[in-house]
Amino acid sequence: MHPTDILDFIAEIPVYIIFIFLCLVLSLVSLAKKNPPPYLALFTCYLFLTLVIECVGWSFKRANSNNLTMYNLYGVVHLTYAIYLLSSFLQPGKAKQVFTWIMVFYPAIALLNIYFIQGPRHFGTYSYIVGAVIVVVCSINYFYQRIKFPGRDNLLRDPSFWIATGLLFFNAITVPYLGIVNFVANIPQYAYKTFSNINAVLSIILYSLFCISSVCSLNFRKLPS
Amino acid sequence: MQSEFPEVAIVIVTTIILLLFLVGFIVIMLILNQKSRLTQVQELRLMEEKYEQELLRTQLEIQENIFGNLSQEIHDNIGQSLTFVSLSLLTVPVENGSEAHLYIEESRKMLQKAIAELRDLSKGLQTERIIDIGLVKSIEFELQRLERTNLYKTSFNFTDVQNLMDSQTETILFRTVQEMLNNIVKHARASELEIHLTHENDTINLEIRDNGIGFDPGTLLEKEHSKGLGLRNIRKRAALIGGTCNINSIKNGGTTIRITIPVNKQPFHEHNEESQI
Ligand SMILES: Nc1ncnc2c1ncn2[C@@H]1O[C@H](COP(=O)(O)OP(=O)(O)OP(=O)(O)O)[C@@H](O)[C@H]1O
Ligand SMILES: [Mg+2]
Repeated sequence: MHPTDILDFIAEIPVYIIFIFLCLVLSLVSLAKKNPPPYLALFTCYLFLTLVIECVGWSFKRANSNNLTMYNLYGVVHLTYAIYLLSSFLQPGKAKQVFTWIMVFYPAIALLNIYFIQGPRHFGTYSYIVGAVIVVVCSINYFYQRIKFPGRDNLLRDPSFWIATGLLFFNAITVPYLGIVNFVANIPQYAYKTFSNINAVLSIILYSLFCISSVCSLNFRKLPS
Repeated sequence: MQSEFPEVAIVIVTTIILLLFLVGFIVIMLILNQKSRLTQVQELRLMEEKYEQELLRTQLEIQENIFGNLSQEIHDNIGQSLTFVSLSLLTVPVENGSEAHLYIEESRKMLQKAIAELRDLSKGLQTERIIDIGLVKSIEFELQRLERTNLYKTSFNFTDVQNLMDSQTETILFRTVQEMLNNIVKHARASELEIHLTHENDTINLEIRDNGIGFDPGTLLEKEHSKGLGLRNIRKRAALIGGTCNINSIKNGGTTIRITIPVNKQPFHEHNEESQI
């Protein structure tokens, strides 16, 4: 391989993949520190999985081959983990219990939809939209609690705040977007391109918020509760 | 290039709008969170204050109860026994004018004095009596006790403060006076003491002054947690009836302690009415 080829290759890597990589590195660094937040280990695994999936997806795309199954399955994992993560930020109580139960049932229903209702040849939009709505509701619940029981710590220093903001933002906008993609047949090519560009922007915003969160975890201190 | 321009513009505009939304959301969250935190802190402080007051109030109630019991004990048991002894001494069969008779008479006088002193003490402890005869009379009574020791010259100036305070405020003020008099007897080595009870506009001032050895209130504050309770309790009691306590003392220059309470702002009063319903 010629050196210029490598440069070309690097220039071709989508920006959001770079952001995911950055997130992963920051998470690993804060994981190595003393007293990391309790969710961080799993979160780092999730970021690693995301990085792998996006890299594979991107190379599939370059090779113009189909990667629907992988994205379908990853969507289920991603949303289930998001629900789990957010409900772990909630104060103990009824809402937390409800979301924990939803987290258990959601993957089963989503897989059912992917394999038997919409079929594995389509992107499982129904289950994805439902999952995204659950994530949105859960994060709104989180913000509601942050207002009602503000706690002592500064909001901007709290890693969970940035994660919840990212998840809320990303999913709240993904829902109508997916809705349009799913229900408007034959979107013109130029609109499709715009959509995927906006999607990339959304991903970048999500992962930069995750990056901020990881930076916050760097000097996260456990509250004596 | 020409056809790509609107696409790029759409993406850029959408990105900007998204970012604006995001920043707006974060700012709003911050403001709401901060506001809620402030109210929470305030609520907490209020609760703490209320708790402190409640605690002090209970302490005072318990103290008054103990005083009442003590007073009764002195009056009913010790007082009775001493009176009985005194009467028994009368019936001792000795000749008038004999040496034994003189001793017995002497003992009887001492006993009588002790009985009188105990009765005074008992009266001073009794809450109901303070309420009955009022603050001014109670203070006068206490000063008379001190005068009788022949160690102190006392004076008491007062303006008419009747009906300006409820009975609980009066009791608290009286207990304060008692503690200050105790301190003077215990620490001051004074020969003269003055009490002023005055009413100005809408405050009542109680001032106790002695010409004793004095002390440094500043050093007292530092070691307040380790030593006596008296002055600390005086401060707390003053705060409980919405007043302030001012200690003025100079080494070898006597001590003046001044308590100022507002006339118509007494939380105790409200509480009292509440608990009577
Ligand atoms: N009138 C006074 N003249 C001189 N010193 C005083 C006078 N009143 C208080 N003090 C000094 O202030 C100190 C604190 O008084 P305070 O009443 O708080 O405690 P106490 O009398 O030593 O103990 P307690 O009242 O709990 O039995 C005393 O130890 C004494 O040194
Ligand atoms: Mg004392």
